[in-house]
Amino acid sequence: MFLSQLMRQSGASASAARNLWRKSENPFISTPQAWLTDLEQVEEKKRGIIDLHPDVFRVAPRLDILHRNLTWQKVYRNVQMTKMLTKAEMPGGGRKPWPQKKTGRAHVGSIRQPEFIHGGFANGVRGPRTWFYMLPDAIRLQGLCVALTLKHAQDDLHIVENMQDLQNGDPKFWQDLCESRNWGYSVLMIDDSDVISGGLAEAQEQLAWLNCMPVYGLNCYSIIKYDTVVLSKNALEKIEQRLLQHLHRAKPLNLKYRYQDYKEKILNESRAEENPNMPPIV
Amino acid sequence: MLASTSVSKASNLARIVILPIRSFHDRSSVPRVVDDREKSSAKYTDAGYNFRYHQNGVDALPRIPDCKVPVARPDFKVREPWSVENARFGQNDYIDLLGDGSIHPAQLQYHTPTWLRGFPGQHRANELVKLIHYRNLYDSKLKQNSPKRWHELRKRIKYLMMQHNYNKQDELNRERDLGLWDEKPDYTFKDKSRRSFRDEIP
Repeated sequence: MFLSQLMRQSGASASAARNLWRKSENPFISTPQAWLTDLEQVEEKKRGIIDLHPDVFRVAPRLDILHRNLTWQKVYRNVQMTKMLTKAEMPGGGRKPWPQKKTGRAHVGSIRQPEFIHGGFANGVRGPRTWFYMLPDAIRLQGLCVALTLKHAQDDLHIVENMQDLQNGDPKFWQDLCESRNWGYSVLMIDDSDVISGGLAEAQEQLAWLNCMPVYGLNCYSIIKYDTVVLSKNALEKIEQRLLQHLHRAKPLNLKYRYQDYKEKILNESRAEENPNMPPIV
Repeated sequence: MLASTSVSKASNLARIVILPIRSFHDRSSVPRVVDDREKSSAKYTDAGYNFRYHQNGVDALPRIPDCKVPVARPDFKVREPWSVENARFGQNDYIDLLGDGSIHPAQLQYHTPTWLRGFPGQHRANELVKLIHYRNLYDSKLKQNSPKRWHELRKRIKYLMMQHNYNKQDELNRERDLGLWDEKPDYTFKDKSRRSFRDEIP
């Protein structure tokens, strides 16, 4: 009732009642909604209202799970290339420097012992060290849903009709647009296509705080990092479809990541990077 | 009469000044032999501490006044949260869920050495497991072209084997759960290489 009145006032044309796949019949779960706008002019014009799937945009705000996702994203890519050499790997040190007894000095067998300066390291950092691990799919899916829910609940999630082939590529225009609509310092645009053309593409090259990502580039860290997230209508469809498909899939959600499964693929891909004769330096 | 006596008592009290000297407890019930009476009676009262029980805030760091040498501090690091790498940090981390399912983030770790891409990190697979993986991949190349490194690798693996067998047995019981090798070795297979860590090389 209230929403329809608002829409009549703002001249919005269509209320978009979408067919939400496998929406729960629970009457206590309300369907979240968002305004549909466009990026053609500076002022925000409301084109309609869109129903969002409650399983994606109205989940319990589990900050602990969001935190696990953010921590994973920061940590799992880390590599430490330091390698501290042991006594055996340092050059030299094969001779006993002085006799075992009767010199009054320490009983040592090599000048590369860890007690020596310029000696080897006993418990040093060894080799290229990684922190790679994969979170279970269930946690990552829930993390995405929580992040999207939080953005929507804080009124930082916006839906637009189209992002491709926009007319105006002037950075000033985009700055004014975000300013007038109260879109936060940084804006993340998400479209379903991985190639973007037109005004938005020109503007996002000029403005550091305005960035575009394809749907498959969506992640918890970026959703939280950017103040405002803008989805295109097609991107919204695709995100909901992917997430729900995984949430309702027949395979278990807690499948263990096994290196065995990806080993052949990874090694075949990287074959070109390797020297045919020499092994890589550890 | 009464008043005069009280005044004299007060003046006597004022004369006997009891100084609150904080000193270390160094007296025992047993009399000690001292080489110098002066030394034994001259006590240390100040060990160099400033007691600031009722003084709020944080003390300034000790600095030499008018010292021209600047205090050593790490260089200021310019952070650029909106540079291209940082603005796109984390893109494609969920590509296996949101993409078409053909790519996994483990494949996209182009900054790691090829043999460690997607390999469990060192909090899961310890150094021994990592080195065994390296040996399985590059054993022939090492033997052929850099025998010294092959020798060092063998020494290190042998040392770590002993370390884990004798001193760190609790760390080696889970290596089959890492998804690197089959859950259980093929005990019945005749070729003994299948019964150990020598996994198949693609």
